Amino acid sequence: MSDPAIDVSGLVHAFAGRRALDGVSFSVPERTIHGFVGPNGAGKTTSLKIIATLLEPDGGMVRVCGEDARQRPERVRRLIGWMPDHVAGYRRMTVGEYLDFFAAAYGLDSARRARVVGEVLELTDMAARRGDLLAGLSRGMQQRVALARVLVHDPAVLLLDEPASGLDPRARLELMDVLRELRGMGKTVFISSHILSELADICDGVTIVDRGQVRYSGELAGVLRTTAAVGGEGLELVVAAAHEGLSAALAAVPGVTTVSAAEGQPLHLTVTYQPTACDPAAILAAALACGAKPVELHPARRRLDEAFLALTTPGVSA
Amino acid sequence: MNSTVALLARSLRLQARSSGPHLARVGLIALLGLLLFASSDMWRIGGAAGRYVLMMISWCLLLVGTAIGITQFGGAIAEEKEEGNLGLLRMAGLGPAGLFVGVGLARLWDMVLLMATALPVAVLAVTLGGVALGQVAALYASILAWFCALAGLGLLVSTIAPSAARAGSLLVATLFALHGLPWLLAMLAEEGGAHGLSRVLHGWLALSVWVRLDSIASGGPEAWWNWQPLIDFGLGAIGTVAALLLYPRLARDSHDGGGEPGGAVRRWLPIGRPGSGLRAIAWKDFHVELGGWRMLLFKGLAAVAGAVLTAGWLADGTRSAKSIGESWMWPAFAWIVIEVGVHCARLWSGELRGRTAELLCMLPEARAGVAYAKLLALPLTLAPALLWFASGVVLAPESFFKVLGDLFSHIYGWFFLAVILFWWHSAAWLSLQWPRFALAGSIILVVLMWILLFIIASLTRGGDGIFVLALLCLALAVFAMHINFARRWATRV
Repeated sequence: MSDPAIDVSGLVHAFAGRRALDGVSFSVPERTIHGFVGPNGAGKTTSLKIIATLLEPDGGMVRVCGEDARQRPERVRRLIGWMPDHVAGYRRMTVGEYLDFFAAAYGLDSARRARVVGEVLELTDMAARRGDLLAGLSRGMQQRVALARVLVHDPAVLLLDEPASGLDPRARLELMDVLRELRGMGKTVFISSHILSELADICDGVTIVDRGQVRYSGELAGVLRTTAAVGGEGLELVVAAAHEGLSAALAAVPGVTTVSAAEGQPLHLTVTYQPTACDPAAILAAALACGAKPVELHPARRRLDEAFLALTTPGVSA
Repeated sequence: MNSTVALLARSLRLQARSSGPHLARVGLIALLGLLLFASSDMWRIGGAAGRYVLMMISWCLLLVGTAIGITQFGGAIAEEKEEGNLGLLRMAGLGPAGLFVGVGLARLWDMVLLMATALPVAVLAVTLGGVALGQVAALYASILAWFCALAGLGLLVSTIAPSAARAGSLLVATLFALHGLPWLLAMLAEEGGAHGLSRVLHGWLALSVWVRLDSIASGGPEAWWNWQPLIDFGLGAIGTVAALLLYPRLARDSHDGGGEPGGAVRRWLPIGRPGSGLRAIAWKDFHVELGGWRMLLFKGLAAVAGAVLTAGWLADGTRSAKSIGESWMWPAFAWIVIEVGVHCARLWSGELRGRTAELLCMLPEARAGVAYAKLLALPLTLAPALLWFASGVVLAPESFFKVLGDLFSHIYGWFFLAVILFWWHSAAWLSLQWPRFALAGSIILVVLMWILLFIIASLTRGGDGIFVLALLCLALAVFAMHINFARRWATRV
């Protein structure tokens, strides 16, 4: 079995005594797109910078394609394409000059550079802007150039820190297409975001961090199962008309944790319960006993964003 | 008006939080303290101790203040451009006058604080005797006027230049044109027998702050008002008015793309393609940081003009090729040392500002190697000065080899070379830590080091041993900067 593309174990880091990472561990299989999600200040960028060898951790281990990032940073840098969360570039250079420079700095010979720069410009749909100054490009285009720069030395692993921020909806969709294409080309894409649902369509796996700790790491579908275990299963009950005392009656059923009602006719109620302590039949019985007329009863579709909220803590860490 | 006051308050607050100005004041006090200690023997011999002290204050204030002022005033508007604040300030109803007051006045206040730091020592000069209070007042008026000239000219170049680094270079060039060039031309005119031109140039130089300070510190009682403060205040006012007039046309944020062509760009001169590996970084720095072919052409023309002028004046039949060679060699050497130092002080400022430092950090190379690669661009950009120097060596080989022999046969020569290397390294190291104060900070470090050395040498009654020790210390300091460099870089990205 081959090494995971990224293997992080027990990562610890503090800034001026404040712990930014507190034993972060996860692994990312090869040739997958893996989301790295967390609220602002969760430790995403710090983790990414440590994986990218830009930051020396206080403790823990990072391996990229089997290479130890602390022991062999130069080799790891060759394996990685790093795209920071801000637009960076030499504004007086043209797009072509900029990419040619980075390809040269990574040691590509002249003939190979010409071919590679053409290919990455095609891939990011920027070929027509090759002769434009970076300073004259819009933010979305600069993001594309940044993605093209990440690819010039053909890295096995792409570390993308919030690459979709500041992009319009169409540009976001196009970026996701490019990432799928890159996965098809055998690259491992590790992409950070603070919006889980944004990554839902493309990610094979996801790691959720909050306050410097991993809350979940694994397949995307597993997030929903995990949050069900934490917050309980959900049921959606639709009754023909609003009924006084129904919410209170449902909340009184042993094992029910929350009852929430949406405005309108018919009335939609979402009931969460602990499956070990309660049965859906008991919830239906309570509704009938109350005199309500249920027209629908089905498992609630827990959205990814709700799952994300269930796994993370509100507010900013102290 | 409220927005101007708010901006002024913001600028003062930012400067109070920044460690650079505080360190500069501490550095000045340390410098004065060391000088007082070092020169105590001279007082006993020469008498009128107050005059020595006043002279030290005037030169320290002038040198340290000018070095800091170039950075402070050169960056006043350019930094706002780089941070993309100009548009926001305009939206808040701030016009150029409000901006100049809000930003420029705060920086001028910093310079006043620098002057105030030296005031207790100036009062000590009066107590020691040989100096009247009027001289101290005249000295402070002259220096304040000089800082106002720096402020006005700084606002002008800061409005014109797209970045703080370029504004700093432009301000240095302006100051050289106002003081250095007339001095060089006057010297050459005198040598070449053009006495009329020489008199005019000397007349201009007599109005400079350098001459005025020398006269105040060494002479008798001076009127605190004079032509020099008047001219310097006037220069400051002209600079500010010119900046106000140019502001609507030239001042725009670096990030708004305004004025940048949206379509394909045609280069005036082709920039070619980089070599692979670290050579690519040298190529990038030559074209992006050092002005590329255009700047090289400009420097080449300046070098040719300088060579023709000196040769024309000196080659009157009585002068030998040797004297022409010497007149080329040593200015070219100074040019090379200064330009390398200035480039080292700007080594990381552009990368940190454009946030490209972390992209270079990701290259699969040792980080110190990347820093040296950035310096590989220098030989090409220094080609005119190197050529000038080489021509001087060809014309006066005996002088060159004599100096070379002296340099390598004495510990003082080795020490001199080590100081240059230390200056370059400290400037490069400081450009990562405090990009705005890298040049001023490195100069202060070198001056402090010289003074410390002279104190130790005088305490130990001289001898080569102290220079050997100092050489070792410098080597250790350079080594420590290498070790610390990668960590410092990682912290900054």
